[in-house]
Formats: sequence, C-alpha cells, structure tokens
Amino acid sequence: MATHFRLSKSLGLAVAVLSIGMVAAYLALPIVALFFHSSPELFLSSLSEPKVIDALVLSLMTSTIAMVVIVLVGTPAAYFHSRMDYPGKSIVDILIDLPLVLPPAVAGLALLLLYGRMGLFGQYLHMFGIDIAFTIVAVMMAQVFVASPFYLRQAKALFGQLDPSYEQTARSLGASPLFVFATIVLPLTFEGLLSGLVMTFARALGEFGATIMVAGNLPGVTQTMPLAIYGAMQGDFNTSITISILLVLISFGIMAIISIITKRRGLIA
Amino acid sequence: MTKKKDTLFIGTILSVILCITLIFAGCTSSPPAPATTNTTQATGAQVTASSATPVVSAVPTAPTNEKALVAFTAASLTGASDKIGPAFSNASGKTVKFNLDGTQVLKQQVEQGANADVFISASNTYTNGLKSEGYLINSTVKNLTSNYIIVIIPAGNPGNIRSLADLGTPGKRIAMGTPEVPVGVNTRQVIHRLTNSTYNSTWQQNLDKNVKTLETTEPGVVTKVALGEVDAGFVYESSYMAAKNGTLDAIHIPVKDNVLQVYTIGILNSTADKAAAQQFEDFMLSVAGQNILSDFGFRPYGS
Repeated sequence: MATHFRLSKSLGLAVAVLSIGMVAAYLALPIVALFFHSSPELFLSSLSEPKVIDALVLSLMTSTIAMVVIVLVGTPAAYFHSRMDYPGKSIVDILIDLPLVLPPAVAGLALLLLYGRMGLFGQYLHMFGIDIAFTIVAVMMAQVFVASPFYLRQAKALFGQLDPSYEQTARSLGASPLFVFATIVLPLTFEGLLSGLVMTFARALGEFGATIMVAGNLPGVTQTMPLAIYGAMQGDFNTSITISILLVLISFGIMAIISIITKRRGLIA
Repeated sequence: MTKKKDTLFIGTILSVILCITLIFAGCTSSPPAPATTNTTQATGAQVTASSATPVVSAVPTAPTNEKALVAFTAASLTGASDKIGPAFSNASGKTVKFNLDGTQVLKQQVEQGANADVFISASNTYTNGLKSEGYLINSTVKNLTSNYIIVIIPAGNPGNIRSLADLGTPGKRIAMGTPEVPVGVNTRQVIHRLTNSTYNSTWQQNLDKNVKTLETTEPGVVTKVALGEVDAGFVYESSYMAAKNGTLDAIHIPVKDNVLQVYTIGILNSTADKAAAQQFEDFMLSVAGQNILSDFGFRPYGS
C-alpha cells in the first residue's frame, strides 16, 4: 500500500514537470531562436534605418493614443455597465468580447467596409472631406477595436467585484459621484486597471491583420512595427529580425511591469 | 520554499534543459529529406493578413496514389490557377496545389527550407537568385509568359482620373506594390520612364505623395482598387483583362515606357517527383497551358 502511494505521487510529479517543461520550452525557444539568428552588430546597425525608426515611433505613438482613448471612454462605460442593469446589457457583454474571437483580418475588412470611402458610414464622411481609411487615424481605430476587450473586461470585472457599499456610504455622507469614483473606486481598482491597460497597449502594439486591411502599409504613415516586420521579411531579413527583437524587448518590458504591479498586491494577472 | 516546491522547481528546470537538448540534437541531424510535398509556409506569412495570405487551392480529381504536386506560384496567377489545376488533372491524372503569394515571399520560403516541386516566378532577379543559390534545377528554368503594367481605376472613376497626368494631381489616392514585390519593382521603373519621357519630376513627386498603400501582392493592389478605396492602382494587364466586365477601367501605359515582365517556370531541387514536376512544366508550356494563361490576359512569351 505504501509503495503504491509513492509510485502515483512520483508519477504525478513527473507529469507535472514534463508538461510544465514542454510549455516553457515551446514558448521560450522561438524567442531564443530570434536572438540566435542575429548579432549585436547587425542589430545595432539596422536599428538606425529610417524604416525601423519610423515604424517604432509610429507604433508607440498610435498604441499610446489608442490606449488613452480606450481608458477615457472605457472606464466610465465599464463602471456604469457593471453598476447598472439595462436592457441589452448581455448583448453589450458579447460585443465587448467580440474582438477577442474575431480574426483581426475580419475586423480590418469590416472596418474598411464601414469607414472606407465607399463604406456604409465612410461615404457620408467623405462628402465632408473626411477620409479615414489609409490614414494614421485608421491605424488607431483598428488598434482600439482589437485591443479594447483587454481593458474593458478587466475593468468590468474589477468594478463588479468592488463592494458597492463603500460608494453608497460615501454618497450618503454627501460626496459627489465623481468624487466617490476618484477617491474610493479608483484607488481600490488601480492596480488591476493598470495591468489591463498595459495588456491593451501590448495588443495594440502587435496588431497586424486589421491594420494592413484598413490602414494600408505606408512607411512613416501607417506602417507599424508588425507590418514593417512582414514587409522587411520579404526583402531585408536582418531588418525584420531587428524589429522583431525590438518588439520582444518591449513586450518583455510590459510583462515585467505587469508582474511588478500585480505582485505588490498579490493579484494574479 | 518547502522541500516539495524545491523538487518541483528543480524538476522543471531539468525537463526544460532536457527538451532544449533534445531539440538541438534533432536540429544538428541532417536536414529533412525532401520526401514531403505538403504545402509548407515556412516563414511567418501571417494567416491573418488578407490580401497577402498565400492561397492554397487543393484540386481534387481522379483518384491517384501519388501526392499532389506543389507549385509555388506568383500571386498574379491566382485567377488562372483555378483553371490550370483542373485542366492539368484532366490531362495527366495528377493533382497540383498552388501556393500563391508575392514572388519575394515564395523565394524566402524556399530559402528557409520549404519543400515544393515547381516555382513560377514573376521576377528575373528572384529567379536568378534562386538559380545561383542552387534551389532551382537550372536546366529546367524556362520562360513561361509575360505581362505589362497597366493603371486600373474603379468602376465609376471616383477619383476622376482621366489620364496618366492626373495621377500627379495632388489629392489623389494611389495603390501600388511594395519595393520588393515584382509588380512594385516594375511599377517604379515605369514611373521613372514616364517621368523622363513625358512628365516631369513634379509629376513624380506628386504621384509619390498620392500613394496611400503599398501592397505585398499584385492581387492586393487590384482588391484595393476594386473596392473603390483608392482612385487608381498599378497592376498587371492580366488583372484588368481577367476582371469582370464593368468592375474596372484602365489607362494604358505607352509600350515605350512600359516594362514587359517575363515569368519563368522551373523545377526546384527539393522536388520529390521530378517526372511529375516536368509533366506540369510541360503542360504549362504547351498550347493547353498557354491558352489558359492568355484567357486570363497574360501575353505569350516570344511570339
């Protein structure tokens, strides 16, 4: 009996070790391969190419603006959505999750068919001289579309979990709703919101399929880092590796920020 | 940490090291024998990209024991490939699958180890590159067909483009290929020639400012124009000829300024069935194959 118990225990340990090892290796090795193929000299030399710098600046700028838009509109939306019960609430729940399951290329095509010059909405905008497709605005709109679920879902969950009695008490003591939100709700949910925000930024930064459809691919204007990688891969392999490594470094930086933030409060991201 | 966690931690590290070692051991062995003719997309051709997605059309035909031939084919033959596949099957009893993408992408895939039987290229530079790198069986590389560049316009002409000169009017929207894709290379050459022969550098500068998107495949440019999202696009004549009636208009480019792109077909060294690959090449060069190509607007080479 004792032998049988020890055998199944070590078997469980072996399965645990093997499965975790496989997951770790599968995820780590492609990144390792990326670094193996380049060298510090090649990396630094292609770092100064205009194509790389253009893509880097454009990506960081558009992702930041997209993230700010998502936070400014999404925070009140998530707050009221979680606090109120309104007709169609379950539909909005589905809509918030939609960009997560929709292939980015589909999102891009749909955005093009809506906001393009010939689009459902875009044709009217065009009459006023406003054209969205193939501009930097289109890049940000694509990013907002695909990245918003990351913040909205997190914010929704955080606000939902917050005990409303804190807010009610504050209100009953005479505080305005905005004051309550700023001094009670935000401090309590801040870390979680921040991690959701950082994930949103990362997703916006990596967006490819939707961007290439609705924004086009023009260096300096709409060619974000993922698009630049795809294009460079077809001509100058080394440049594509450099941009890829840049994105990996930025992603690792983002992950590090998340883990520092969440470890402080013991939350699991 | 407790003793149990210690063991787990060490065990995880050991298995990670084990996996890495196993994988490197596998990597240092001889490269995979070219027995597989599965359609492989070696480098990161994102499946999520739409107009740049390599299209694979499997062609089911008469039951055969052999694996299907894989033809890496320049994307401008996308439409024609729908006819070529069945026609070849009827003629030979063999199946051919097409991996359609920009020639520059296909070349990268071959160089990164993708296995295929036949390579149809829209660029002499890329063909020569593959030949000198040893991927093509040089003796099998033959001229297949040819194509001129043309400017297409969406039906209804939303941008009011009436001539090549209008392309240089500020405020227009133009689509063309990237500097790497063969149609893009030729487009830039054509623009350069037009600037020198007919127009001036102001025209070219304005045209450059009007370019709103660079597509990685020729069909990508066609799509942007067909959708009406740009005012004009530089594509191959074949795409205009093969387009449905009424969907596209065109402005022809004078032959003296134009570039005649010659396509080549060749058998790759990685082929698993050279005889079948030769059969496909012969079919493409035969009257039957050439007729299909000319139905889709391609020009015969040589005649």
